[in-house]
Parts: sequence; C-alpha cells; structure tokens
Amino acid sequence: MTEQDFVLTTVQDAVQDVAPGVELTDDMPLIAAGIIDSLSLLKVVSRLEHDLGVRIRDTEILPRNFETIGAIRAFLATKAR
Amino acid sequence: MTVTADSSEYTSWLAGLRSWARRDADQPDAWRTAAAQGLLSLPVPDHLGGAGAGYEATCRAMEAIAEESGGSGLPFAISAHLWACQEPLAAFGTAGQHAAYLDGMMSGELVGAFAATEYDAGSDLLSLKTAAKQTDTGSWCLTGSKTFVTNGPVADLFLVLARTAEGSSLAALSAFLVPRSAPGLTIGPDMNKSALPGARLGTVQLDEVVIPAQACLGGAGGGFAVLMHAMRVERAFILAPALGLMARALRQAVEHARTRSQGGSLLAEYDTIRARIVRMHLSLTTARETLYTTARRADAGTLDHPRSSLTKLRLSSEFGAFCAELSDVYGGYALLPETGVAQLTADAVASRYYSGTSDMQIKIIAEGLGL
Repeated sequence: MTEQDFVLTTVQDAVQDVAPGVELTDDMPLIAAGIIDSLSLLKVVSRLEHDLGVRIRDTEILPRNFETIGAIRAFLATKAR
Repeated sequence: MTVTADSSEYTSWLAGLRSWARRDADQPDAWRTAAAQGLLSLPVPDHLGGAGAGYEATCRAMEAIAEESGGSGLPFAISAHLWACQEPLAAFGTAGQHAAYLDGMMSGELVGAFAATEYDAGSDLLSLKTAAKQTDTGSWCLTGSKTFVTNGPVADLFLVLARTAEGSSLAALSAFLVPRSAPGLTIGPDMNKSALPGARLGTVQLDEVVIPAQACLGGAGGGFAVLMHAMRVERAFILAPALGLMARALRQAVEHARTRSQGGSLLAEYDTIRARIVRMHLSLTTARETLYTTARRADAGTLDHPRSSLTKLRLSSEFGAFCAELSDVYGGYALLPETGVAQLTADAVASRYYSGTSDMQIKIIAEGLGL
C-alpha cells in the first residue's frame, strides 16, 4: 500500500461510526461536513503517528491540516520522518 | 532553575516545598507563597521564562503539597491553573500573549481558569453555545454562560471556549483569553460543593464581552486543538495530588490500626484489617506507577490521548477503591470529620467526573484500541 492509499484507508476506517458507507475522495470536506468528529480525528492522529512514525503536535491539529484527505497528505509531507 | 525530577537540585527544592506545605499551605495567601517557591513556573519551558523542569517534577511537587498539607483544594486549584490555562497559553500563545499573561501566571499574580463547560454541554464540548462573533474592526464579541469553572470566583484570566461558526464542527471552536476586568463579564457566586474544599468553583456570564483580535488563542478555528491539548495534559496529571492524599491517609490508617484495640486486640492484628490496608497500599502503588510512567512519557514528548485518559481512569478508580477500604478500616469512625475519611471519599467521587467523566475516558481509550 502506498502512503497515499494509507492516508485514505486510515481516514475511511476512522470515520466508519460517524459516516458509514461514505466513499471518501481527496477533496471531500471532512470537518465542515461533519464526517470527522472529535473522537475520529483523535483516532486518525493516533493511527498516523503510530503507523507512519510521525509526531503530530496538538498545535498542529488544526482544521486546515485535516479538512480533506488532500490536506492531510500535504500536512504529512511537511513532517520529518 | 532548569532541573529534572531526578536531580539533587530538585530534591533539595522539593524538601523546601514540603516544609512550606506543612507550614503555610492552609494560609489565605498560600497561592502567592506557593508561586514564590517557584511552583507555578515548574512545567513551563525555560525559553518562555519557566523552570523547564517538566511534568514528572511538577507532579511530584503537587503530590508533596497534598501529602504534607492534607488539603485537596489548593493543589486542585493550582492544577486547574497549571494544566488547563497556563499550559495551553504556553503551547499556543503568541509572543504578545505570553508577554501579557505568562509571567503573571507563573508569578502567582494572575490566577487562571478554563471556562469550557456549559449547562447543556458537559463532556460534549463540541455542542457548546457560547458564541464569539468578529466585528468589522476585527475584535471579538463573546456572549454565553459557563459553569463548573474551577477558580472562577477568584480568577484574573479566563480561557474561554466559544463557537465562531455554526454547527457541531471541529472547525467551529475557538479559544479566547479574557481578563476578569473585561466589561460584560460577570462572575457568579461560589458553587457550594462537598468535594475539594478550598478550590473555588463558579459560573461565568459573558454579555457582549468585546476583546481585541489578538485575544484569540490558537487562531480562529483552533479551539479544538487548544481544548485537546489542555485535556490531554490535565487528564494525565490532575490527580497527582491524590497520590499525596492517599499516602497520608495510608500512614494514618496504619497508625490507627496499630493503636486502636477492638475485642482485646489491636486492629492491626486482625487479618481483615491487615488485608484492607495492604489493598490500600496496592491501590496507591498502582496509581503512582501509572502516573509517573505517564509523566515520563509526556516529558519525552510521547503522551497520547488514550494514555492520558487511561491515567485518569486508573487513578480515579484506585482512589475510589482506596477510599472504600479506608472506610472499612475505620468503621463508624469514618463518619467523624476528624478522620478525614468522608472528605477523601467525596474527593474520590469527584475525580470520576471532572476533566471528563470516567465514561468519556473509556470511550477515548476504546477508540485508541481501534474499537
């Protein structure tokens, strides 16, 4: 699985409870549309940290970094591994 | 002072703090004299003017104050100031916000309070109703009411969580630094409570409170991040004083068992009493090991939300179990105020609810497990 796919799969898994069956796309608004809630956002952050070995600070858990799958990918690209 | 919890410099400092707590922690000016010891600057990074001693060192200090003084209110009030107000200010604040408030909070000149909870929005903070609207000049106008605000009646600075957009959305929340003197801000009377005596609890009413654009902490829409940071740290460490309270109560229970006779024998000779005291020791040991493992993780920068919630859940559970055994050691004497058992039990009950209920912690831990 590429990292691109990994981000999509991670978010898709995390939002199952809130938005079951929703097929996510890169530019779908996750936060504004309520697809990601507070707990699922924490789940996404925790999974990305654990599986990709990145450190995501609380000060980075901002809407602009998690608004879409594309935004999450762009944010991860800024992180040192 | 830039020290760590295992340095000799810190050990000497902590001995001085213990001495202060035995002597002065119940005095009216205890907050100021605690700050004069350097307590409030302990966890703040040294590049922001703090001691940079970290979370473990701060928790050991909070435990020591509670153990030496026997009081739960002051360390709880200080914890609320440190973890839910000063900590997010240090983490998210701009240079201007640090200059305006951080030195005052560390010196004890300014008492901080986190005003997040609302009457209709307890642990579900994303549904809160307090609204902040930006005016044409860029300033913010806040309207709403907050409840269960620890330090509310005495606070000089409120970290207020408000909605800056419609809907239950993560991007709808923002955090604001609101001074007590802001026109339109009204502090309600003290809320009477049975737990944590001395820690002041109250309501805050905001009626079109206008604050400048630069009072927004973490930027517009950054409220969730501020909230999560405050909660991650607060949940992990707010029960550090409970370790000191349990240690003190354990010592007193041993003394009680060794000196009180029942049916011609000392309580300490009864296997049932011995077992209860051993289980109290077990609860305290488990709680302490959990907390300090968590604190060391936080100092290493690896504390996540599930671990933080697990810590609070573990400590509040052990605190409750400890008090149940303690009560049975004292029997009917547990009801006499001078034993302190009823007060400690009330504090243990409160620990299941503040900073997110036990059910909320379980939910976060479950999510962390991938459930």
